Amino acid sequence: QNIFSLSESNMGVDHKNFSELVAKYESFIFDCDGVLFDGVKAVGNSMQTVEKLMRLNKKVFFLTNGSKYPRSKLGDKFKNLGLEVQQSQLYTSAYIAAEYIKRTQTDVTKVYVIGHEGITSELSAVGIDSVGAEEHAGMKSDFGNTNVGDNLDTSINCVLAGIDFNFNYYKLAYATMLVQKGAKFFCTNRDATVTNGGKLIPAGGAMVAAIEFATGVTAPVLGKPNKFGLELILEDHNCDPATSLMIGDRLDTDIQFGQNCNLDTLLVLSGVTPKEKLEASIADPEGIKPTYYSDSINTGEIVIEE
Amino acid sequence: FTKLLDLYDAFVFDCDGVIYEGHKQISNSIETLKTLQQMGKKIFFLTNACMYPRTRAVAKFAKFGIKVGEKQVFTAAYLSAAYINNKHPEIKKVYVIGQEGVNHELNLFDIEAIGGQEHNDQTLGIEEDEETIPDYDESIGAVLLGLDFKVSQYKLAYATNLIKNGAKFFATHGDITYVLKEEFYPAGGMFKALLECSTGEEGLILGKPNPYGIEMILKENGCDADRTVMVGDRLEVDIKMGQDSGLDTMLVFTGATSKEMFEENLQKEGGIKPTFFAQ
Repeated sequence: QNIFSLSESNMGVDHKNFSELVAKYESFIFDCDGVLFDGVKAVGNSMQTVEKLMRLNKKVFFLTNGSKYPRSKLGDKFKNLGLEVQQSQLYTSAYIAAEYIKRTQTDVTKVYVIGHEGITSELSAVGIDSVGAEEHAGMKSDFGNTNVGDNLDTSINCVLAGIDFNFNYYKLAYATMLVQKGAKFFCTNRDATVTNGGKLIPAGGAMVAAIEFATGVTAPVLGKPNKFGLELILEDHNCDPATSLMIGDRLDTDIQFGQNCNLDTLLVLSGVTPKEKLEASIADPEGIKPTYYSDSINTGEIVIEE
Repeated sequence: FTKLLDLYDAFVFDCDGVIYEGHKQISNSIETLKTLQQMGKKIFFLTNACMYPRTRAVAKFAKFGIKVGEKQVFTAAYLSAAYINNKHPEIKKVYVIGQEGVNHELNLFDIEAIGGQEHNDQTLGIEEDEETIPDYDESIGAVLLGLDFKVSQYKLAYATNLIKNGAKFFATHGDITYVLKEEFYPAGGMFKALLECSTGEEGLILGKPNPYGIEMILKENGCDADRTVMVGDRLEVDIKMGQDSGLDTMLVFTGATSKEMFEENLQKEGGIKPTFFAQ
């Protein structure tokens, strides 16, 4: 069991031992929502913590399962919160999915997308056409209306689903029909909901559940916890998994991803996972256990070791 | 077939795939119904279609040349409203994701139906600080999910928050798809799966195959379960419902289930077996 003891505490990371933690690792992979971002704001002074790591010449990457924004827009979000990041540090589930499909599904040239520009821009960047997304956002349906069947483009042999704020009957029918006719089916992530404006919104996982239920076809997840994301990071950057730390707020995506990739992991309680859930997971023999946990990444000053 | 007539006083029929297909009757089903009526048998119709109020079904039968009363027709919308009214009298407001037939039946029981049509033009903002759904109305005691062609993220998010905050989760039906021009289109069951994922709660189907519908029919009409037969074209919906209510059942092959599908199902361990089958 990969539990590391830091001074007296068993797994707990706080302001007393955060510097010790930082000294152990060369690369830090951050989940975004719930770790760095709280909606449109930063979580405490998380931006300063990340900036400090970058100034210490640590390698810092951002690995998010969010697929609604293109990487450029995600970069803007960081900039607005006071942190300049390079596009090469950003890994969204949409980018990962596009790369995965391009490399492993060589017969796919056109994808039906449930989602937004975050996904279509990444597919386009690797030379794959997309249908659906914004164009189908306004399509109407009714009982007895066969517009989906009549308009179905059967040359589309792949469906990729992520969160879609413009989700409607037409898109669900279109995607389901394609999968039933044999199109490959992937999802960027399986989150059942995300929080927007303080309210829950059904996310990609819920839409995928509906299509899987109807077709009996399971959609592999291309974002976390699929380890493909790490393969991309390692290809682009010279970092060593043995000295890399994955930091996130969700056990079944961030921490599971870390475990799948043999990375040490830090779970922060500033996001979706309450302390009780973490404790229950640690107590459960089958439960997902991070290497460390912390209230947040604002655990105080990082002291540079001489 | 005539032997069957001696065994039963009451016949409960599914409609689509048994009596009619769209606007056409199947074979001479209407003649059969008329014969049953003339013999003094009681006939009832039990359908998961919720688009229209029951009066519309009555009119449809009239066009086919048979006189049927509203009290003989049970739609999933009507059953859902009756169930909520009888089993949950404390619920006076329901959030509906469905068609007008559902609102109509709820209103008949003095239950306020909101959502449905009013939320048709509401959208969700993609940006995190944009307008999102309003604070949920705590007086809404239940979400009733039907088939809504104007379903949206706004409505699904509204329902998700209600259910997560304690509102009951009901569905008029669980049918996964319906067939139109040989293609499968999503039915309520797909949206039920979506909401079950987003809420972590299981929805309760109030239409078929919930035995509540048969319970209502038997009670309201003084029928004996031993002398009543359920006729339908779907094993997991019609036949299962009949069985769970203690009725004999008959499967026909003019609808969703072909004879081949039925024979394949018979080979399966635990496959649903009707009492009779007929073309």
